[in-house]
Amino acid sequence: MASLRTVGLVKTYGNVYALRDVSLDVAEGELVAVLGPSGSGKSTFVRAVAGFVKVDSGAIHLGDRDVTRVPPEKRNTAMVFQNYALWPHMTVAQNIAYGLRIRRWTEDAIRRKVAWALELVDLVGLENRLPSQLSGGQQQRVALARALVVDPDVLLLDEPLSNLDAKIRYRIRFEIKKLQKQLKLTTIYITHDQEEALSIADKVAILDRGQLLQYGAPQEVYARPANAFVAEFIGASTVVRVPVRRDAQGSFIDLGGARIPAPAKAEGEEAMVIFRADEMELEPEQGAGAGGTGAGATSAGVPGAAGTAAAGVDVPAAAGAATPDAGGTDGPGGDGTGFYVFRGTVVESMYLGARVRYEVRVGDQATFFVDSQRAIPPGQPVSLRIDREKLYVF
Amino acid sequence: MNAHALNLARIAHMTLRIAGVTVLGFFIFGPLASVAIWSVALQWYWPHALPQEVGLRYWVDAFSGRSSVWSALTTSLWVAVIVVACALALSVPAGYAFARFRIPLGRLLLVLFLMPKAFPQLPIFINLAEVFYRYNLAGTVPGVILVHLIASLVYAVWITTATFRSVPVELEEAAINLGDSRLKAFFRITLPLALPGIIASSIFVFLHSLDEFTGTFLVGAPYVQTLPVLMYTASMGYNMQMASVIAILLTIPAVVFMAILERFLRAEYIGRLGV
Repeated sequence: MASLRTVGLVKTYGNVYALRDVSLDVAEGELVAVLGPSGSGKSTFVRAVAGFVKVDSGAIHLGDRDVTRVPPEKRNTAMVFQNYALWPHMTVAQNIAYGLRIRRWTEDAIRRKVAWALELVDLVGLENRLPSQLSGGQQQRVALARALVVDPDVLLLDEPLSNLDAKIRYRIRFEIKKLQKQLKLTTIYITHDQEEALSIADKVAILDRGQLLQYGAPQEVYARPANAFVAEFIGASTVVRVPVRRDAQGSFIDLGGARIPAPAKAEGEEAMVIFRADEMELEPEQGAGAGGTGAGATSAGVPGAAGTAAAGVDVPAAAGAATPDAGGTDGPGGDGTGFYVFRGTVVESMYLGARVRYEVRVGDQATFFVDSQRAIPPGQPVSLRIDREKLYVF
Repeated sequence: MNAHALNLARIAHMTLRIAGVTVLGFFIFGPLASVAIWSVALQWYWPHALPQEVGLRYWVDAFSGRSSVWSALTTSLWVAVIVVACALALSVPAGYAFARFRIPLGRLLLVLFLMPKAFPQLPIFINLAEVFYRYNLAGTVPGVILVHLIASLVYAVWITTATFRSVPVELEEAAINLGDSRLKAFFRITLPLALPGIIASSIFVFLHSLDEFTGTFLVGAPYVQTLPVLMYTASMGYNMQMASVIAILLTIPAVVFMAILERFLRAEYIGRLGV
């Protein structure tokens, strides 16, 4: 095993950047998930490390070796391909032993190492099967064993779970993690699934259009996304664009009655407000006008026309005159609460099992997606509360 | 009423099918049967439906050591084997290159291989024969081999290209990734997996060479006598028995190889033929 360091990797196809100045440091024994949508350059990155893609500029170091100009067969990386790339004309054992035969191990040593690998990935007894006689999960483990026996400097996993059923995907993810820790493998793990990346990695690197947007521990990336793309990609439910306004206190945006400080932009430019569905608290509005509680109660029990109408009338007033309680208007940190509060109206709900996702209309143009465990009928005015730290404005 | 109409339709359908199969059978087996009968006919005068005298004399003659049939058969087989070897030597590297690399004008080159088949054969071969005369290739076995090769490269290159395309490039990359050179990965991974398609293309080339007449006749005659050329001369001289024996000899490898081919040429290869 060795550390991996890439410095300013650039790769272009025509005038499209597949990699744009990608510098990544992976310590020995670390698992780094490279996360990005399709076309983000993550496959190009892993293929550049393996040597199948020749970079236009930049350098790749494995340990203290500069392998930038080294052909793929001499790099001592081991790749697990997305479709496993098992050789259909060889048995499981022959597949696994292939790299050892290239290294001219003795038959005896090969036999022992293959037995070790079969044990490791729990395939003992299947050594004489052909790949076509194995399930997807078993094929995946053969590919892993084949990569591990050669004792590579770095293990490259290219979307290793994307061809598996959701059920075993979850299990194999943990098996890979366990193996990786046990063998202290320096690992690059390519994926487009943010949950997979966060759960398995020591560090997450987020790529978009060839650019490395953020690189850090999962907790860090999750809690402090560097920009709108990262925030959205790491599971934000809501992205709202709001025009920026300026006054004596600086740039701000006015959304659903809350004043939120915005990054310095020209008046009229749009800022993005981003948050996750489970971090916004949803509460039915109590003071929804005289008799509002009564009407609300009615509408909660029976979807009566009166209740719906009353709520409907209330909405524009509530949203228009929205004055957040607590310190919403006082500017950031004016009091000790640390929350933003919005007013809105539930438009639609979607049952997701453990929770319900609500579509909430806030102000006159914004739609929030918020999770709650309460049952709230459509048309109900609600107040929404979120920790200032958890609301990202870019 | 309705049921009656349906029944009628079914009967009509059935009749059509039987008629269709009969006609098809007649077209396929009719000439074959006639050839088979001719090959054992010692005397067969018009207008009798069957020969007056039947025997295996022409068959025995054909296989008696120094007969013209025997020497033509060996010539044909040798030519076919050498054509296959040359076609393989050219089409395996070419097919691999077409399948794996971006070759400038690759599509055009592939179509170029099709050209000898795209135009009327006779004028092409007449022109070719003229060129061959200039280079002293006319009337020689190498000349005949060259003619066969030019015409059959289209099968060889197209089929091997499609075959190599059907072998996922990751299988090769996986071997290179583990330390194989590209050449070793080719011989240990790609070639074994492409073998069925390569065998299929060889069979096509072999059968093409065995049956080729026009080019052989124009370039090789009268010095190079292959089976089809001999068959032509025999039937021109009203030796229908000898022509029929040769026809059957030529049919046997075709039938045998087609049966083998059917097993080898899998749908996945044919699917990749689209360039």
